[in-house]
Amino acid sequence: MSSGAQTKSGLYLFYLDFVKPVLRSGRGLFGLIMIAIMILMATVGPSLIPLDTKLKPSMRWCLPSLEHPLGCDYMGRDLLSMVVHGSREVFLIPFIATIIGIIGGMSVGLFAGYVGGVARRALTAVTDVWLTIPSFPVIFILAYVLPKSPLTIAVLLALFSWPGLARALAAEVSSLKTRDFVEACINLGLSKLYILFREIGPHLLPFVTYNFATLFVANMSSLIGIVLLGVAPLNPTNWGYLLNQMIFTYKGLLIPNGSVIVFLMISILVVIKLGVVFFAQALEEVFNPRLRTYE
Amino acid sequence: MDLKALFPFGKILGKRLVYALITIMIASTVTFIAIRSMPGDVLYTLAASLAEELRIPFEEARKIVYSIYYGIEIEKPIYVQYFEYVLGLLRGNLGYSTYFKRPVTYVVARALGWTVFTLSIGVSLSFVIGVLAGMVAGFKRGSKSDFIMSSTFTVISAIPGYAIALFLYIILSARLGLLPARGAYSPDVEPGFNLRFIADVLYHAALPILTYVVTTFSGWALLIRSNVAKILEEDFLKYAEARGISRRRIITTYVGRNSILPLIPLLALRIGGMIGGSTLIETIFAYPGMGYYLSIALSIRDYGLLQGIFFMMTVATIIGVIIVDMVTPFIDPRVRREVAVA
Amino acid sequence: MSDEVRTGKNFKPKLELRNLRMEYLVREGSIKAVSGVTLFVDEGKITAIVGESGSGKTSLVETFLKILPRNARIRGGEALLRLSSGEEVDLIKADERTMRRLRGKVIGYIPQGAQNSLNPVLTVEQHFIETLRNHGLWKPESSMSEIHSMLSLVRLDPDTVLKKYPFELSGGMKQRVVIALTMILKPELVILDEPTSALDVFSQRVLLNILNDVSMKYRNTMILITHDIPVVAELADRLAVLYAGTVVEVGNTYEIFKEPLHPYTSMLISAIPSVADIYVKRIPKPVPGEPPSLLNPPPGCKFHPRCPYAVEKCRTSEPPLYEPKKERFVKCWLYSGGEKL
Ligand SMILES: Nc1ncnc2c1ncn2[C@@H]1O[C@H](COP(=O)(O)OP(=O)(O)OP(=O)(O)O)[C@@H](O)[C@H]1O
Ligand code: SF4
Ligand SMILES: [Mg+2]
Repeated sequence: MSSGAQTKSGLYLFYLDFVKPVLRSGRGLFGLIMIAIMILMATVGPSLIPLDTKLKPSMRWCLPSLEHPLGCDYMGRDLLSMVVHGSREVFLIPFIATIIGIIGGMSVGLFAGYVGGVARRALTAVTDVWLTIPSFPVIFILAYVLPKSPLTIAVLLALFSWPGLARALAAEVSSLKTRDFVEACINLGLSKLYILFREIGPHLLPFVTYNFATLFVANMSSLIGIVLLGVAPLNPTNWGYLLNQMIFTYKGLLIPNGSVIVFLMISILVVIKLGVVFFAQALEEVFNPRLRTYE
Repeated sequence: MDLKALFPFGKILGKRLVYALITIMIASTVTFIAIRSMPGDVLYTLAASLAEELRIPFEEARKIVYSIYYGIEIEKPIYVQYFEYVLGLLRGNLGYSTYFKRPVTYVVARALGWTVFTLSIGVSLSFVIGVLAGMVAGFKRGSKSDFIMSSTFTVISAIPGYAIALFLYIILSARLGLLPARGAYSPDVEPGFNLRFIADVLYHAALPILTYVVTTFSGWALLIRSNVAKILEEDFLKYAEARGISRRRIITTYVGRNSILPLIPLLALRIGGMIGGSTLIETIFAYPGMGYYLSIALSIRDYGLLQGIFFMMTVATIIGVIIVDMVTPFIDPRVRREVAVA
Repeated sequence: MSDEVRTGKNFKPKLELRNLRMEYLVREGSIKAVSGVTLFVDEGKITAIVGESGSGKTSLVETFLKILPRNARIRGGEALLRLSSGEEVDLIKADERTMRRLRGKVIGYIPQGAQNSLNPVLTVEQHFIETLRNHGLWKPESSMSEIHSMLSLVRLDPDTVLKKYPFELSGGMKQRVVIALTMILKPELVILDEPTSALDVFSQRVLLNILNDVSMKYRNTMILITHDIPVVAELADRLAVLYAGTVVEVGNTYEIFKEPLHPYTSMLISAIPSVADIYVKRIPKPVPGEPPSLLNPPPGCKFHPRCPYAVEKCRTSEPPLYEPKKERFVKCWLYSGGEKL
């Protein structure tokens, strides 16, 4: 009985501290809705909206209507259905890439920050080099020549997802290390690794969450970018491929209706990206009340 | 004479050269992998036609193709191949373009200038605009106009560069027909140092430059805004006010310099991203810079061109970073002292 | 009572604060950091303002200098400054242009945390030059030697210090640079906020000697803000005790030490370690109880929750400033028999 009441009040506190502020900020709510739409699109979307593959020359570049909410492409196919079917690849690969990148960045960053000294200097040197490489062409070229699989592309994207986080984490950990509570833990005889994960971890959670969101959208843009440039997609409904065909093969930008459709298509991408960024910002404000505005 | 006094940047430069070497190794590994995993048919076509033309066995033609087109001695052990390949690149042997039927250096020589031209103007303009916009928002922090400005910056910085390029293309070129989106200058103007040509070049460069500016200024603005907001709470600002320092000087020397300085190292870190990002933007605008040729190289499977262009992109990035590094001590006294001590 | 009677001669205070009030707006409400401060700062003397951390010492100064943070709002009162030219200015009413003319030139302020008070990208020399230029006092022929002698006065070697950047100086050196930089304008009134708090014992000693030299040489009016009472005993002529944003006692330093009138002052003084305390390594008990919340300050006398003498009246109405003895002012109902200011 009492434990039930406690969990309830705990949940309620969680609601008050984390859920309500996110919902109350306009940006947070917008972000949450966008993320919900993304998840629905990639999971149940394809089974709800069948893929339209019929060529209808009369419907080429048709403008949005009730029947075709996003209009049609260069072959008169319904764009919405293709966007929904393409979303899986467009969301999943960056998602995997970000997870790999975050795990890599966290391990390297926590290690370097914790060990300090030489390890941190080495990390700085490596990331200095890494961050100066023109990453987009590297991903672009390797994705083009290497055997194609979702994992290959995810790993390529992850290759350039870790340094920023690793560096920031290393700095954060070395400053946390000197704080009172960590020293108190060491005095209590707790093992260093235990301290690293149990005590320092929670302080870094908001930071990592925010990084996850920004890396995810960056990877999504890169993925669509390389496919837009001509790296063959795994799935012909990949948004980058749709854009590539519309822009380069069918010269949609030179056709008035075509440019409207391309415009719509990139707007979807932008709105989704914004949703995730806003959600991350709202979360950060919740975690980090200092960012809340006064007055 | 003391060498350090003559050349105080020795240590920074030394560090950068080591970094540059590592960067070049990574970049050449990428192209090496690309060439070694080239699809058989591309190579077959080249070797077969060469064998026929010179009346030599196919195997020999294949070796020659590797060596001439890509600078790889295929019969040697793989690590020797790699080592000689990197040395070749460093010596300026960027490979041979099958499409242009010329050494890649020929294409690079024509493309590099356009990329450097548009990017450097784009970066400088976006930095200046971003700093000014960020200062305004920072000084008005917490107000409604700050909220509107910061939200706008956040929205813009969330839009990928190619999406901005496409938006601008659709609105300014396709719809309104205000700006051209093909080539670096009109075919009917005489290249040279004449006003007509310069105006035409700027006219053609307008869309790429505008894209770079729109894509990056908001990021700078957000950074400056938060720096300004932080500095306005600093003790040294309060003391400057208490000393009766003029508002103008507070804005320039106190808030301005201190909020811009931390951005300089970031500028160095972003050069690579911007040069890489030019690939998409130049392709969308059919602007004949390095990025444009890189995507052309992929679409026509011209591996020599691909390796040469990518290598030059890396070199351009390294040079950009070194320039920023060399300039920093002149702007930031803390770095200047560090350099002098080193 | 007229000023003539109060001071015994025709002598007006350099700075007169009357019922000054300021609050900070925060999400939870407003922090009444300065709530009705009345204080006279005598010309040519050192007036110390003491009070616990958070009692509003810094806020008080920033209020009449009008260099407050953005969430601060001045709620009333006046701050009359008498310039040596004979001009009288109410700082609270003065416009920003007048304030810019006065700040630095007439009122020198050495903020708390002088360690961070210099612009990181300017050399010490550039700080001096910009400061003099801003007030139109820069003379290429003579200013440099003036700067040299000012730096020597604060015991810094001008030749080494001038070309240095703040990050190349120690905390104590920066503090002394700030003092020299403030004094170079020969302000009529100098305000030092916690000049010794961030320094080690040795640097504190040096600094006190320097302050002594400076005040002997320039004979300007000084306000010394501190929570370090021994410093006050050494330097200050007059003492003002601040509690929860109001002045509770003002008077001659020596007399207050000899016979504190306000219950808070006497607790504060008995909390100073004596020689005997130091000898037996005993830490005297601090003033018992918690400092009051400035967000919701207690009604009546703000000290009543901690005051052993509190009576019913103390809980409901705020006492005025009484003058039970000549030149002694105290804000406490215990002295309601005395004369009201
Ligand atoms: N910008 C601000 N916004 C809100 N509250 C503030 C602000 N600045 C100061 N305060 C609060 O006002 C009160 C008075 O602060 P003030 O800095 O004037 O005290 P002080 O006597 O100078 O203390 P210290 O000895 O620590 O310097 C404190 O409770 C402080 O928390
Ligand atoms: S007024 Fe009352 S509560 Fe306040 S100090 Fe005097 S006796 Fe104590
Ligand atoms: Mg203070």
